[in-house]
Amino acid sequence: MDEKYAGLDEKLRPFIGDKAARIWSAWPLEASAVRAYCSAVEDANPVYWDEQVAARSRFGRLIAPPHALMSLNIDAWWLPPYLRDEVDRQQAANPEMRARAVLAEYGMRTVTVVDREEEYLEPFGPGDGRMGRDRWIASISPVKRTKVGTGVFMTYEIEYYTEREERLVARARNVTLIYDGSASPR
Amino acid sequence: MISPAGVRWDEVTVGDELPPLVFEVTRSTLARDVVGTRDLYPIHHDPVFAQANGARDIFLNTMWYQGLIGRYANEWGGYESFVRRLRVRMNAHGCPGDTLTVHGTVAGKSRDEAGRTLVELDVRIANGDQADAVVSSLTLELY
Repeated sequence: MDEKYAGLDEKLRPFIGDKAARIWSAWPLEASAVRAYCSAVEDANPVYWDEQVAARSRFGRLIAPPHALMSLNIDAWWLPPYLRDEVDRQQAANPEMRARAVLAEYGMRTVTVVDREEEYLEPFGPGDGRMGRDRWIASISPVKRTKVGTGVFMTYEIEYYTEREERLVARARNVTLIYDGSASPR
Repeated sequence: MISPAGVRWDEVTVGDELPPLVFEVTRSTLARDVVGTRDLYPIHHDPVFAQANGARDIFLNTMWYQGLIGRYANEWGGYESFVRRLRVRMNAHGCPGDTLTVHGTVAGKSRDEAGRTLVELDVRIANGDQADAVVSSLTLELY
């Protein structure tokens, strides 16, 4: 890749493998969020909707679709400044955001998920409190030209814990493409 | 529609095809995607931003596909089936106006060390233009 990206590897290397402080989901696991998620794909499974059926099921209670994991951990859209500041401070300190800031200096600001693998160890759902996630960058590829623009593939891994009883309930591996969308070939 | 009793593990054979599922994508689907997955990244709701970033239009996000694929697997496996592992790879976008068709095949069958009865499913989603717009593999625990 051209000289424009010389030295980028070295700037990114310190962030690889560096575990961020645990981040807590913006909201506790709530039935309303589970239902909004199910509504989006028209998932009628009663273990997400019907308390009585769920209580009689092998899960014994309402659960969240395990694959709603990432959605349930999306950061708040908006927070009042007195809450936002703390979140911003935590984010700015985490290795992934610091790596993203370096990539932004090279024009790579657009992010898209390319490949995502999740493993669900135990059911989780309303009543489990917030979810905590521990995450780290596993690898960053050399700069590549893709059909949407020039960028890098960043792979990170995450472990998810419930706030109640601190159970490890899921693991994820995520590959994102972070690219320069302004130079899009379209 | 989901039934309480899904397929029985001992009656599943590698190579079995799951019934296909069709989903019409509209602009409202994209709005529901944003609400349901809480993903406010503009590429999923702002067509100008999406096109300026190389996409043909706003497109469904990975989390929405995770939901659709989970639903698809549970509708076959019954509502007490449980997704144990899910991998999703995006090859092409699903945009308003597209008709998605989900296909699934049983790729494997096993019992794990805890005695759980598992099936491996290969799922692919066609967007009308590309047969493998989204490709997924998952492990479903049957009960």
